[in-house]
Amino acid sequence: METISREGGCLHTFCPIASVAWLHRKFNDSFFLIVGTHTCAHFIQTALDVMVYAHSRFGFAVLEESDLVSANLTGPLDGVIRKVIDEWHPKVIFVMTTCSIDILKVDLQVSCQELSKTHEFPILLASTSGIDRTFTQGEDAVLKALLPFSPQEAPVVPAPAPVPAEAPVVEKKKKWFSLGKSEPETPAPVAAPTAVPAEPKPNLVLLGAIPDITIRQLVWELNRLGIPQVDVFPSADLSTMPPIHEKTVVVPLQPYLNETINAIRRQRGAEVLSTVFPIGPDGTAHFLRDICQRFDLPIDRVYQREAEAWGDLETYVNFLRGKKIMFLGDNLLELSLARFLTACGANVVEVGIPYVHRKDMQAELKLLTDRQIPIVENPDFHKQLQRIEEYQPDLIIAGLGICNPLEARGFTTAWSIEFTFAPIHGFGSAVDLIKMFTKPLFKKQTLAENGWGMEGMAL
Amino acid sequence: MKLAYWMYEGTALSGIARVAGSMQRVHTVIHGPRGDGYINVMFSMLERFHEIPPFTLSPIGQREMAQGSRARLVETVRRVERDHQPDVIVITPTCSSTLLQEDIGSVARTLGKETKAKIIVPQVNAFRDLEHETMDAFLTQLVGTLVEEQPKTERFSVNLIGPSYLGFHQLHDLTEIRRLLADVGVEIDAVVPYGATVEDLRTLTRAHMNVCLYREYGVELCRMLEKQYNMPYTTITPIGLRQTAKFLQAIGQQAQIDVKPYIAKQISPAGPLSRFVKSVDSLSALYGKRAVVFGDYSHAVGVTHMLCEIGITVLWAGTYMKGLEAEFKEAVAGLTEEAFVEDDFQKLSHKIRDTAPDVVFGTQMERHSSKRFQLPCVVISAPAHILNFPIFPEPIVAYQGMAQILETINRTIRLGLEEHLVKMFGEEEPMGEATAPAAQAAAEVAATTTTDQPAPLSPGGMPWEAEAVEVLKQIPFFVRSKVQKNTETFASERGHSVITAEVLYAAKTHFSKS
Ligand code: SF4
Repeated sequence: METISREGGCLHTFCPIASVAWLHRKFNDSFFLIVGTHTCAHFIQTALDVMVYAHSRFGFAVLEESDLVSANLTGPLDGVIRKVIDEWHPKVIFVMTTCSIDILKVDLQVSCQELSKTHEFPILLASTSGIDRTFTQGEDAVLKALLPFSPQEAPVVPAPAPVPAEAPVVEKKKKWFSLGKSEPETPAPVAAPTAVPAEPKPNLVLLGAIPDITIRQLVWELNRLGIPQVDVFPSADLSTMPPIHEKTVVVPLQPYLNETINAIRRQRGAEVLSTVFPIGPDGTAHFLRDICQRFDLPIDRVYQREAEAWGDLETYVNFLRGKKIMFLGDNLLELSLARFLTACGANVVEVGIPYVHRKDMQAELKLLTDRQIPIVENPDFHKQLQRIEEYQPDLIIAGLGICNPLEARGFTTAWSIEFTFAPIHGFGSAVDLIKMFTKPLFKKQTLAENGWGMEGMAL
Repeated sequence: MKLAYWMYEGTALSGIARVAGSMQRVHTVIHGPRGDGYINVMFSMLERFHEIPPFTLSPIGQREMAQGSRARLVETVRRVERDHQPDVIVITPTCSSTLLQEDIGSVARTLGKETKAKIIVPQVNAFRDLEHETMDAFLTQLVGTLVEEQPKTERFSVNLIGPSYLGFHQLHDLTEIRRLLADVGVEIDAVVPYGATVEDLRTLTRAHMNVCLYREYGVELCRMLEKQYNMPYTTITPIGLRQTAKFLQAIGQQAQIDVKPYIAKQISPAGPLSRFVKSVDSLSALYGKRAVVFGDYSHAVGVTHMLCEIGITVLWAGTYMKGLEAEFKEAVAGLTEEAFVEDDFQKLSHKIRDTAPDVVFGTQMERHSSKRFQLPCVVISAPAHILNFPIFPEPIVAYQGMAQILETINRTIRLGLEEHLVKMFGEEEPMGEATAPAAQAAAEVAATTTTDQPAPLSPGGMPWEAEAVEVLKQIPFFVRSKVQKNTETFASERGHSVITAEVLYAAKTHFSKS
């Protein structure tokens, strides 16, 4: 891995509570409560321009001075939660923690457990503090908090007589709410005396909170490749989370879910398939091939689908070929995006990334290092500015805070945060994905052709 | 712990950033976790910064939490000095660094001996203090450490205290004030903090007078300069006719300039402002409308004045500047029936819903509330949104500001004539779109009522007789839900249990009287 260097000073990133922007609509009847300071609230409402969601299913429990001296925050938190319940009647509350909670060393886990009991619905803790973490890792924390809702066994199947098809689902319903770290011991309540727990059946679970329409297409691809049943974690409803156990094969969809993956390995003994991420036709094909091979299925069709997808991208690929592209590092999608761009024939001059999880990212890393693409972990922004001048990239993928100033210096930029909002997974999104790189370049070209060149001479 | 969906005021950190980031050759080191670098985003996105904003984060990470952040901070400050060579380095605490109880002051004292730049640590409680009080305290601290007694400028001049980045249309206001003062022959010596240098702050006493443009911050600074250097000041924000005149007179008095002819000229009958305000167009569109006003102190006060001046009734006026309660009530006394302070977005939203005025004047948040309740809204105050950073001049203050606000109201409220036509001829309902709930309900009730059983039009509402529903359907769709609600209130107050056509007509008469 010689091509990975490490610096120190990746400063232009958002913190994990920013993930509330795309998570708060993902789960039915949920509410996201961010426990933090005035700064956290100010950040969300100004930097993300989240004013768009003036009345949304998230809010802040802002710490006051009296909270700083109290040993236990359960009481104050309960007061806030009661107000949230009155207004929104949620069926699940995600309590997102912030830097101040880390600094004060308050344990909200116990508070959340107690309050779940009091209010008789799950109040889950997600550790989303900004200490050393970037914004996409907020999703990791939330998914990890949801893991207990995935049953350990397959749905209970009634043994002797055939019963109506809905029956198992109804029986499962009651047991979806259980809490605590010692979850494994909780026996599944068996609804009907005649039912017996089924042997855990092998299943495939895709992991990641990506848009439903995108996930549906990926599932469809896998169905056509010969996998009839594909589960997805998380589902929008806590009562229908897929089973995860030692016979489950989990395949992550996002490159920043390391803590969730770790918990799945440790707590469930499931197999986590290490492959690349289904981003771009190359990544999607690689991903599908690895899954097929894992289940001993033929892969010919994947090649055909990949060729078709590349065909759709042809004009864009031709345009990107040879373009110098640099990632400053922000969203942790950088390795996958760079791999895709390299496959397009672009010249990726630097992949800055806040942090590289060497184990979970090994497949992506191998593809990049094989092609000698320079990767800089936790890059130093000031050194990057010098390298920008040196490389003169055609396109820079950067955090929101520095795009406009870089444009002013004559560079073309794309916002790194956009890649977390837009559909970029699977063959179906490949055109959307590549357009995110070509659009700024086309725009620059259009402006230049119309007299908006750097010289500012419109004649 | 307090539940908040929205904060009207920013943090101490944002206050310091606005002051320091508006000045020249001042660089700010933010002592906080990585995410607190979002301050950069505010400057580069909202103000469309051309330069990399002058903020460098000295990150607090796991290592700093375990071993202390001093080493990192020292390294960051040295680097900022080397890379940027600013005149002043501000080291600002954040909520998180305050909770860590790190002594930034001692780091600054040690470093101050080796740096060429002056190192300043704002004396604030970053955890507790709010944006505006912080701006005021920090401005006072900055000037206090730099200012010196100077001979006065030869001609009468003023300092403008207030304009800064990320303010509400403040840079447009600045252009307008510059023109206004130039027109009456008053010079501006320094603008603080926007564009100010350390030298400007040092020589602030050259001017004859300080003008604090926005009452939210800068007053402390003016008081300090009055006390120590005998500089008079004014804090009138020139919004509306009377306040603008008072503003000019306050300055004119000090400058010994008669500003009356100038004022008269601005509002002369032949000028565009007078022609608009006096037109029949404005009579039907604006006069007698019922409005509510909410914002920071200066904009809420100014706009309340202005609305009264053109014959709009201000049902209530509020501000989120809790510390200025008494002063606010006094400033709008006699102009509105109810004046209050409130910083709870939800409460205010409900108040707007219950009042159901013809038009709302508020912040971006009230725009959202108004949208929910289908009320027109004009944004007149921070908190701002990217839309409040227009590329063409849109001042709020003085005569151009007045013209701009009037124009916006005019566009926002349905034009009077158009409204008449709708009333006379009935209107076409928007096709395909979801119309007001009352309209839908009315249509449904009319379609499904086979018996003459009165049915409620909305959940929890009173039952309506079919005949009354027919009448309701004649009323323009955009006021229908309001009429429905008012009628039900009217009926229940008078002990009716069913809405008949008779009740509806009585209610109509009652409300058109008020
Ligand atoms: S970095 Fe920490 S303190 Fe700052 S907004 Fe994020 S969670 Fe809050």
